[in-house]
Amino acid sequence: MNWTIFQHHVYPIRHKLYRFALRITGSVPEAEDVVQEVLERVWKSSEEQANNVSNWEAWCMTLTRNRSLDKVRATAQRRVVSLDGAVARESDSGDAARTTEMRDLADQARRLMQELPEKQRLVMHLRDVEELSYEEIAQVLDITLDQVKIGLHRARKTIREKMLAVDARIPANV
Amino acid sequence: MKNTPDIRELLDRYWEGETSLEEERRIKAFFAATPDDDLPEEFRQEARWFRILQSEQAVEAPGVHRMALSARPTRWYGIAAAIVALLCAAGVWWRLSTPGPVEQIVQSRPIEKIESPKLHDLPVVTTPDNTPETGQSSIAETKSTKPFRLKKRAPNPVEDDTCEDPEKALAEIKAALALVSSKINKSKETLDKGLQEVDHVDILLKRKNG
Repeated sequence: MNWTIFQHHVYPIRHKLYRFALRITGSVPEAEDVVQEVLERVWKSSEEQANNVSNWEAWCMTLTRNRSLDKVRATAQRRVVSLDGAVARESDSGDAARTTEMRDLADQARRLMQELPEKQRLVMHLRDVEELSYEEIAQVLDITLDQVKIGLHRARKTIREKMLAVDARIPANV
Repeated sequence: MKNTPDIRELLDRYWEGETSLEEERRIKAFFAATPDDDLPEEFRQEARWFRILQSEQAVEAPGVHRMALSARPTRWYGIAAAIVALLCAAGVWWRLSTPGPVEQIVQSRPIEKIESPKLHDLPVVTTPDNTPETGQSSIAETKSTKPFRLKKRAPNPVEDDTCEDPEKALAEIKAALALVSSKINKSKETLDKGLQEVDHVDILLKRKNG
């Protein structure tokens, strides 16, 4: 692996890889392990392999997906996602209200997205959080372009309905 | 602020899964730049969703980049050592294959232009064992090929080949490699510090941009 390529194409997307691994494994330690293993795997790839990669982000995401699914299968249980690491860094600023808001938003995102079927959840994450193109999502998840579009449409529709339902319940509870 | 009919139309297409990445970024930028209090009522619920996405995008990997950096130096050591070894080998080859200073002078002088020396200009030839030789026999030997006075050259530590002794050459190569290695270590520490600074600035900017 060429250090310049690693520095410009792989190192900057480490947070994306981490979020994607976190979305699949639902575990901070496992997501960290996945990212470390993926970065090591990419770093140790041969020059020939590196020359064949046209889209580094999609390739790294694919490696992350595969490694994360291995972890999930190995543990055989999905754990609840914890975003404590991210929120802890926000709390460094001393803005308690902001930290609480971030935690609430993260909790909402977790609940809404975790309730989606796995494929829809991953399609939505790659599109709405990581901003990948349909083609890249299809490559990463190894599905067709139509499956990506249908999955995203259904995921967004479900999310909107859930949000409407939550809003409808709030006045009755108050 | 972007006009709201435009955003409304974009949002309707977003929920149908018909927006492009660029259009979705425009929606996110709109909600990121507009405080809740300034939003029309019809956008409040959707604003929450896009703030959720924004919070998701702020999640960062804790500390994995240190691993990536720690994996780097071994490869550089190998490359640096290979370059130094190649340079040393090339230097030894060049010294062995290049004629010495006297041979270079002789070869650079066209023989046909050299006049035969007069008798009183007979050269004094000094042999490597420092025994002077004069007379006709020397004239005959030096007349055509060595028309100059040759003196035994004093040892020159700068010009002399230091790689004639293999053990000495090996020791010098090791010393050179050690020097390069120390320089690379120093550079690596500097680069690590620089990257830490960049990370720090990145965090500060994100906090500032909220």
